[in-house]
Amino acid sequence: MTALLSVDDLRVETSTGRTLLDGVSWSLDAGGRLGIVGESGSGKSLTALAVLGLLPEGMRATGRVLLDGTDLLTLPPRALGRVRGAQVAMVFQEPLTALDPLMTVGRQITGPLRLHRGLRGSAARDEAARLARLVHLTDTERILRSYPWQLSGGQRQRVALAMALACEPRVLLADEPTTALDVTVQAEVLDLLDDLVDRTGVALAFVSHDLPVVARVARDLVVMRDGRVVERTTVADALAGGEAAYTRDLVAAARAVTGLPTPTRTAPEDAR
Amino acid sequence: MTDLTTAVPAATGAAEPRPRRRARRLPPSLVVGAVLVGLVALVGLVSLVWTPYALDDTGDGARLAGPSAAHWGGTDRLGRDLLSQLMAGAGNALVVAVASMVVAGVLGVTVGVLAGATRRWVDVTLLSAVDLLIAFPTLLLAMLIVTVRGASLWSAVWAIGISGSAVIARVTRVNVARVLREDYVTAAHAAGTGWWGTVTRHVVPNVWPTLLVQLMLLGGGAVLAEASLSYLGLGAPPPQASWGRLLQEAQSTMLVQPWGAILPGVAIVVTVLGLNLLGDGIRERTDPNLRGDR
Repeated sequence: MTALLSVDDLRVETSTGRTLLDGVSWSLDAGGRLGIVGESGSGKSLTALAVLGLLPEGMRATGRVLLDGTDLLTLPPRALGRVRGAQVAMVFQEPLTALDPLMTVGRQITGPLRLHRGLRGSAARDEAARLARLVHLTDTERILRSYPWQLSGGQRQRVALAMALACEPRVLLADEPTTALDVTVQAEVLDLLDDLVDRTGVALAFVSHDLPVVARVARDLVVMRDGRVVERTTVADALAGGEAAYTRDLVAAARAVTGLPTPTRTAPEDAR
Repeated sequence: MTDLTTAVPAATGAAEPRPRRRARRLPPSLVVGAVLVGLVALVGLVSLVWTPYALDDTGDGARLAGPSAAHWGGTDRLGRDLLSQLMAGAGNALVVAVASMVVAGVLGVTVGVLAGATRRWVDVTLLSAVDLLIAFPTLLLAMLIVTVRGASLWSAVWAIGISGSAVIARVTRVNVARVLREDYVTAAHAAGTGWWGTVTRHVVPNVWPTLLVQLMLLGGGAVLAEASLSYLGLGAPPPQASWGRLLQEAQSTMLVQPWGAILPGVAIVVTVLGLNLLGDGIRERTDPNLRGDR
């Protein structure tokens, strides 16, 4: 089975020649759930940005990022624009800053609808309302008329999810989507994400420093450190005791801090 | 303020959004500024159709007279009515302010957006040009333009607008660069929005409040600059009225008829103050960081 999205020997260098990502490879199958964990600065977020060609100015990516066999790294800007949001969508860490403060939530959700699906006027508004209900926002009428700062953190991240799923992408890159939320809201958003992935069949790449959080939604696991992939495994295997010493350290640390449960998610039958 | 008590949600649960406050009080500076500028604009408009005396009417020969029933503002050394001159000057001052704002705005925003949102070498080139322009004295620029085009209201507008555009360009560039680093711009790119879409949908609206304030301040500065230029004889030539030239003409007779200097001086202060207050008020109204309900 060929992967839907595969990252192959991805390297990112700064203009001064520092290597930030060194030969990162992983793949995501259609409907797959991949977790990418690592400490701060391990390059996990950078990997997600590099996939969509969103690296900050001065950074250069080499290697291959294949979406259905098309290399996104060599795609011309216009074609890449048609992939972003439509084929591969992204959710960011801090929903307050990831939403434009001067634009109503409704207009922000209809943005991608207009761009990729050509929906306008009432058709776009109806679709925005449907998406808002999809991400379990209540009182959608009022929320769509609100500005981001008028919403709670959980509501904002639901809005961001609605925007990301607006064009029924095949891949959803989630970059620490729950890190900025408090614990109870975090649990709600994770459950929602879990549910959305099940219902829409979108393939999920979930980036987080937080192993217990990753363990809730992901099945496969990539462990990163210092811009390299330390281990590719499954969540179940990692929790049972990973191959690499660093993975075992991560699991032990997570257990010590949060009391990470021994795998309760019934390990998918022959996970590998 | 009854709407406040009813609009506050009963439970302060985290999921409850903040209430929207529609009826916000206007900032006092906005009101005062708008009134002052409105007053000057009204006087200027009236002067287009009616002034107590014609601008070149030397009347019955009462020169350097103080305020009287016939001449509320007194007369100048040629016997012309000061109030009429002042009224006509108001129109000119506001025309210069608005036209300079337009020139500086169009030039400055274009250069600033290009510098802030494009590749490095464009940025560096444009910035050097802007630095050069900032270092270039407005007066010298005005003299150059007057030499080429002759002294007129519009020469003053071009001089003030072009030199003002340098500041606008810098402010625009900094703010464009700041907004482009915001997460919501990255998010917009991630959603497939192109360069132009990002600039028009996100960058310009988020930069606009700051720019509007800058433009208003520039308008105030333009009134001052126009007064200086016409004081030096580089502004609108007679018989067009200009506050700066009124000041210059009154300089030698200030001890005999002080009103000739005081009235245009007050007119300039009121107009500049009005424009600056208006700028402040607009900022208080539109800047999300200064909104009272945060």
